[in-house]
Amino acid sequence: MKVEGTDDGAVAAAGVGPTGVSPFVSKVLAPGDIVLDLNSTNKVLRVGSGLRQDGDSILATKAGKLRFQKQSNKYWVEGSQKRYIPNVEDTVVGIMVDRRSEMFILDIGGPAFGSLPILAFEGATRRNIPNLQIGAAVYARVVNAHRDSDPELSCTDAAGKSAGFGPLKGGFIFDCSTGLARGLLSKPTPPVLEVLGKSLSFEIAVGLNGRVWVNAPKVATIITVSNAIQNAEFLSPTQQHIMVKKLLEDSQ
Amino acid sequence: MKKENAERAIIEVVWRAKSGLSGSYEKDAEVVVRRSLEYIILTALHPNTAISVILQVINDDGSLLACAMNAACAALVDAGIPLNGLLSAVSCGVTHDGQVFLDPTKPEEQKCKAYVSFVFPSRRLSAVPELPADVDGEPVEYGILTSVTRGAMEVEEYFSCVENCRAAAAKVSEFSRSSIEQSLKGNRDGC
Repeated sequence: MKVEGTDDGAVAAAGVGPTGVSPFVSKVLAPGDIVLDLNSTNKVLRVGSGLRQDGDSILATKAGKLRFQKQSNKYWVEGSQKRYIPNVEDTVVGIMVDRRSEMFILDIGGPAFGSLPILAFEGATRRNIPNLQIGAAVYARVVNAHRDSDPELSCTDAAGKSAGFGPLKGGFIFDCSTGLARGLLSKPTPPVLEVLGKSLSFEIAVGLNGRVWVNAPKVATIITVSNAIQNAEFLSPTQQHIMVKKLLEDSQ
Repeated sequence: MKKENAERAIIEVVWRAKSGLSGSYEKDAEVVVRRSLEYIILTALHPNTAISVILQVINDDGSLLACAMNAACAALVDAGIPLNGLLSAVSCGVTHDGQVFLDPTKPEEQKCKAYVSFVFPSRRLSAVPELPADVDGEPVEYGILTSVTRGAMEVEEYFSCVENCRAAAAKVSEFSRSSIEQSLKGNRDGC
């Protein structure tokens, strides 16, 4: 039986032969493109999101750029969508919609709500449960995202420390595409954030689910930052510099 | 809550005519589009969900079904629905004196004795050498997914339509691919 699915970290067995990296790394792929023939590599591969294994070949299922990481021998396809599909190890901004006895239910913008166990916070015990209300914003990490079940979240990193996860107080949340969110989290820091950071004081939390939380002491700053980020999606670095400078001048 | 399936996603197609209520033409077109999309969408990756494709006719100047098919495929790619390939759809008409021509306009369609729409699976980029998809050095698509005919034509004329549309569909595939590359260029490294 052929196994379909793009579980993050699923391992594909490889045949004997010289190590071969796919010729399409950093190229734009369309769905159906065959990325790699497993018979041509002799290492163990990790097949990430946007790819699936079909017999002896790895195929793309989404449109996007093919990425490859040497250390973990992992391939994945990076595209940009409006709608978010949860993947393991994504950091997301969720909004609480319900509370059950053992968990909080968060809306992470995907097809199903995510569940966040009440003990999945640093230093949480049964007597010391975090006090989250409906409508609260939370920065969490996706622990489990299988196609047959609802996604599970956590507000600690793998070692149990809070590492920046947890409730987000105050501030403003806006939606963006998954591509923009990924761009904001990439290194080096995108020019739009650098230039804004030089003149304004604010904090942001970027969720790979296409949500950005912005907070600043003044409301005008929050609005400026949000507009700048949303405008920056399709601009080149130079254009971003110019756009931000203009926004800062206009708001003075 | 119609027909949830615990193992795969349900595909739902709604075809809205430019004006007026939906009639049998629209229902027929919905079935054709849905069957073609069921071939490319990987429904097993999203159990217990529905994927709704809504097609609104803005203008009909002939080759409407082919246009709708290409649009539906582009929309699915844009939405990030997992697909196992792309579609290219082409239309062609056969005149009363046996001439075959591609992409008829509405007046041309009405004057033809028959017209046919084909949907081909798009050719893919491959890191592995695949079946040769060239005929006399010209790229053509391999395999027919859907064929919808209106009117009566000779068998030879039909096969002639197939050959012409295959060659044309290769051009449509090229265009789809370059569109995808264009739209992703916007999301470059600087954000």
